[in-house]
Amino acid sequence: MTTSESFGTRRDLLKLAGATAVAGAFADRVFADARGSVVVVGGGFGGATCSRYLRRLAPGLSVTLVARNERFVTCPFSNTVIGGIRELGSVIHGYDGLRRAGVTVVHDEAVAIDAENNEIRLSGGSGDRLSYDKLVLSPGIDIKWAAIDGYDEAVAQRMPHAWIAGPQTRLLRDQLVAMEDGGLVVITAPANPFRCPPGPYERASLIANYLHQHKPRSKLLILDSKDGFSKQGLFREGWERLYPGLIEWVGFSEGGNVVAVEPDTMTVRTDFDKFRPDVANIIPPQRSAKLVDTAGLAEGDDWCSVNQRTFASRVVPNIHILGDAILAGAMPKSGFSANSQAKVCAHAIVSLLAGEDPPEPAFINTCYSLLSAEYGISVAAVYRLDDNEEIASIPGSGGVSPSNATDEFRQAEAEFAAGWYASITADMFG
Amino acid sequence: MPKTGNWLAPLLVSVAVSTEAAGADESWTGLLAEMCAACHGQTGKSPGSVPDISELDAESMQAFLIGFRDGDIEATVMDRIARALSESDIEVLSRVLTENWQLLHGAPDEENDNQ
Ligand SMILES: Cc1cc2nc3c(=O)[nH]c(=O)nc-3n(C[C@H](O)[C@H](O)[C@H](O)COP(=O)(O)OP(=O)(O)OC[C@H]3O[C@@H](n4cnc5c(N)ncnc54)[C@H](O)[C@@H]3O)c2cc1C
Repeated sequence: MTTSESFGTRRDLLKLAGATAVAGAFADRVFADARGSVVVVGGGFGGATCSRYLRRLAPGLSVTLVARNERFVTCPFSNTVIGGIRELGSVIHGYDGLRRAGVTVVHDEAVAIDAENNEIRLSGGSGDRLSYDKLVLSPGIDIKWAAIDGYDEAVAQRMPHAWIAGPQTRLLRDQLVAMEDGGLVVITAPANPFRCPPGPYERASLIANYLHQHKPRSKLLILDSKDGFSKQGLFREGWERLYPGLIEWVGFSEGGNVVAVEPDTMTVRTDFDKFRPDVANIIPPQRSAKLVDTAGLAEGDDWCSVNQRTFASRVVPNIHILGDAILAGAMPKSGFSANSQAKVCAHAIVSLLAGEDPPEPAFINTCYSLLSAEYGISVAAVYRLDDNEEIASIPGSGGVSPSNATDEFRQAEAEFAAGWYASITADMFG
Repeated sequence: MPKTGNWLAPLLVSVAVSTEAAGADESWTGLLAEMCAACHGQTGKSPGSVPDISELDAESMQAFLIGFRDGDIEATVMDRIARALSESDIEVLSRVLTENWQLLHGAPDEENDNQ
């Protein structure tokens, strides 16, 4: 028996089972009638997931994914590359699995949205256009270059942000390898909201792990534009335990707010002070990727606002926006959040195209952070809409890993972090 | 019956006397089932080190989730997640996932072969 035969048999059995058939089986049947074309822009966590789930839910739908690059470098686990635990190649993914799932993948840059004509314009010299019935945007972030005085794209070649993974990741890694023992590494962290709230502190941990092993006289300073951070207690407990004295954190009130950089002298200026690091990792303020501005979707704000039941834009309802580019109630800007939102959005779109009301949104987010290859911590939450139609965490659930847990517990979470990475990238890319 | 989306209809049929609120709950739980794949894989078998739950039957899955929720079974993160679930959420979730791993999280490749 071939796979597809057994698949068909199982489906028929479930159909016969009638009342005991469950949501997914029914979704298969109903949304086979959903027709039309959906264009998805952004081949990352939100866009890849949404494309794949749209095709699975509604095989009759034409789904085109516009992905800027032929390969996607994940930010998740890029900190392990910077810390020398993994190779860059292990966080790079291609789009063949999506093609096998029936998604048309176009490698190009969307340069403008023409909301009036339901079209997007691509950069390709031909001036290509793609028309859509529904447009999904999961374009992620852009750096707010003007926010820190002196920090622009050219300076990022000297003082990398490494907050969009790829060449920047490699650059920061190379600078750390080239640094002499006894050097000073500065990481600057932005105010909320920004991509991956625990990310700067995971990065600090994994750089400390590298310094501790290879350059033990070095120091790491975190200059922060806020007075507290995600999983703070757990990070500090771990730093004390694994890298005592190596990491110093300076919060906003203690003068941690970075206002300017001077690359020629490798100077980082805060409100009151200046520092001369050997390696400067500037994680600047961010905003939704600029594409959204071409249709006024952010309304002059940094982030887009959407109907949190369907992810339809508040400005243009047949454009759905998800992932880091939006404000999503209580959900943090994470890859897991984008993946979760993409599934809810895919269900909403096929429902709308089939003339139905969308299902009741459900979301999960679990963000793992590694403090070393064997030491993991996490924060988790389960969400639904509250009475104001805002995504809210369910009271009494979720939260962070226990403090003062055993080594075995921390090791288990480090293993599950790697397991999560393998699973979610397979969920996205096949 | 309130219009709550076709994909939920079988659940409404199977519980027959759903109120609007209960319908929303079942709809929520049905969609929540989709979220498990991010860690456990689309068929309950993670390609990584997350525990394989693809072979569990509904009863054992229910027992695990209740055990996690009530702190009777040790967990790293599933205790925190299961605390979001009511008794009936757990029942529906276990049924949806186990009866339907293959279809609910099924391989798009196979669907294409079927067309
Ligand atoms: C160091 C670091 C570590 C992290 N670790 C984790 C973690 O452990 N777990 C977790 O859940 N999250 C983590 N994150 C957060 C995660 O990376 C983001 O939240 C996630 O990528 C958001 O998904 P997205 O779809 O919104 O954007 P992305 O995944 O960035 O995808 C957007 C894509 O759209 C493309 N694009 C943008 N504009 C256009 C255009 N005009 N035309 C064509 N393509 C375009 C971009 O090039 C990009 O490929 C981490 C982030 C960082 C920086």
